[in-house]
Amino acid sequence: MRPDRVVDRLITEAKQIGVEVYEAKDPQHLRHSLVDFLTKRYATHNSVCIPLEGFPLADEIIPELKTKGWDVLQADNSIKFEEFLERLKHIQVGISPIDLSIAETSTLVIRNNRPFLREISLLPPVHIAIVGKDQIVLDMSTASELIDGWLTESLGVTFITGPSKTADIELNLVKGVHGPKELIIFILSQCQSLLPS
Amino acid sequence: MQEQGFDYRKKAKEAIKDPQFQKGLQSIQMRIGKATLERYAELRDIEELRRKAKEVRIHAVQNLDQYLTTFTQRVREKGGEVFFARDSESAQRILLQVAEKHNVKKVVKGKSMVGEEIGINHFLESHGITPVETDLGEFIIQLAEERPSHILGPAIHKSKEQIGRLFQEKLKAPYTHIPEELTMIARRTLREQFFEADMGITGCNLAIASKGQVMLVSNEGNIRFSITIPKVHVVIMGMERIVWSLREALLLLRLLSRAAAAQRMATYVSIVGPGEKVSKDGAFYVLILDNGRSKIAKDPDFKEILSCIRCGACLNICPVYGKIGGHAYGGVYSGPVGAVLNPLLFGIERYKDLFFGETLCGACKDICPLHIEIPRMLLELRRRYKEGYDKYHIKPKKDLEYLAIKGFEYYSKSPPIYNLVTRTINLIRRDNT
Repeated sequence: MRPDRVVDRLITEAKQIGVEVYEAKDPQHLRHSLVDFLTKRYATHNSVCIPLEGFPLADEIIPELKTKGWDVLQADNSIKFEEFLERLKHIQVGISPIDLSIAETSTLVIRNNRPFLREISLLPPVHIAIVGKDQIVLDMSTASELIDGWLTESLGVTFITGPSKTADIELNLVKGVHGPKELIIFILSQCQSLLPS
Repeated sequence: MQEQGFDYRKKAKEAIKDPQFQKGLQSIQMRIGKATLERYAELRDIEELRRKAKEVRIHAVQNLDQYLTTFTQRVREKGGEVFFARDSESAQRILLQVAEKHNVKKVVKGKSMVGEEIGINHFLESHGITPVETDLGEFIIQLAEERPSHILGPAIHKSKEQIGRLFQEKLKAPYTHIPEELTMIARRTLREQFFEADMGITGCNLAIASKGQVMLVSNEGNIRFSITIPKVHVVIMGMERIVWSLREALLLLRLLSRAAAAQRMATYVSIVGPGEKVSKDGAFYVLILDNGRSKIAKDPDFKEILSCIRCGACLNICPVYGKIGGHAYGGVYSGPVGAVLNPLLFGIERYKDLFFGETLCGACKDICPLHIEIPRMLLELRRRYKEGYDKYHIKPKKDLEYLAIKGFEYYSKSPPIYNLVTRTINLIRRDNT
């Protein structure tokens, strides 16, 4: 399947499970649309967590959000893990790059050895995932070869498919029971890979 | 833990008379059961996938020693620890030792049927450790001090109004019966618990032998919290819940997601093992429970039941479960799978009503992602119960039916008696004509 078809498949599947998808052609475009999205959608609760690794133009986007009055938690090695967790508890939006995406189920894969990413993608009520176009594969079979190699090298992986949900009360679907209530994907077209392999 | 004084007929009648329970059962069968079949039909090679998956699981069940030895080696190489428990009591002891070693005061738990088998909550409480169920359904059941009525939807027998009053009473929350609001009350309450807990206990969907890691699946995200926030992670698994490779685990994951909740993919899947904790005093343990499984694994008639991946699909279609609900099954497991597992694990005599109660309609086998032959095993249990089964100390039942069959057997095997009886009958017939 051609790369564009794989992207289309991801978008179709994502929409079916209540995930919004936006496309950006390059890092500058991503920066603009992300800031635009955040400030328009979340005018009332202004806090965001951004990891430095794997985030294109983090050094530009952080000051920009700060000048717009956003509280920005920077996730990098200068912060102690316990302190990071304590601050993350109060953050509304977590932004994370991911390692791989599986189009046929709209699944996002994060390697567990990435510092902070498991927490950023879990604690805040909103999770925005940045997906490089080249990191999207069509199906689980293709993904499993890559993941198999990762497991041999190091720690495990986390799959995320849609927002946190439950049907435990009279089978009513409720989002955001423990993890994020909203999951949004930004696809970056001109991008090899966001995270070092 | 088995329920004391369990009465199949009484519990079944109670469920049938409870309109809320009936509504819950009907809803899960009409919505999830039907949707699962539709999800299967989306995959062109579904029958091939199911055949492969079954093969993978049966191979594991037949080679458990090898799988578990490799799994244990890999976990230990990576700095984790593995324990084997012969029964629930020894599992409790091991768990307590681990908890004491890490000075654990509070435990957050993911939903686990093996945890129910071990009776973790009651045991921990009696030793001054607070267990908190974190799956919303299990959390509701724990607050209500009840038992799960479905493997995956433990609280399907409760109404939103009942849950509202429960939260009002136990959590001092303002009354509401709106599912979204109730869920948010649980979110806030449980979020604090994750950060206060020293240990997370989860079940195990599948262990991956060659990797020394386990695959954990949830839709809520409670499992992800339980394994990332507290410093100690303990996995409790039935000894049969294992595959060899990641590829096999992912094949089963695809089927599990469709079978369990009619999803193409479950929301969260964590593949984790030792060394994942950021904190220096982090630790990873696996507690593997036998509790009668090794005996089943050696039994050619019943070993197939160990290939089950606990998706709960058979509950969502079974006409008997659909009326009597999970409580009537008395033991840890309910529905068709429970009608085979409870007798084998906890006593054939004690749980005989379960395998006599099912209809043998075959819907369970059809919806089971692995086509496990539950009807065949139900029938086999009935036969063993009647004819006796030394391995499980079951004596033959010498009731009227038994005597009639034995009498016929004797008559047809002995030529003098056979001839005598037949001649007499013929004589009588001739006289009458």
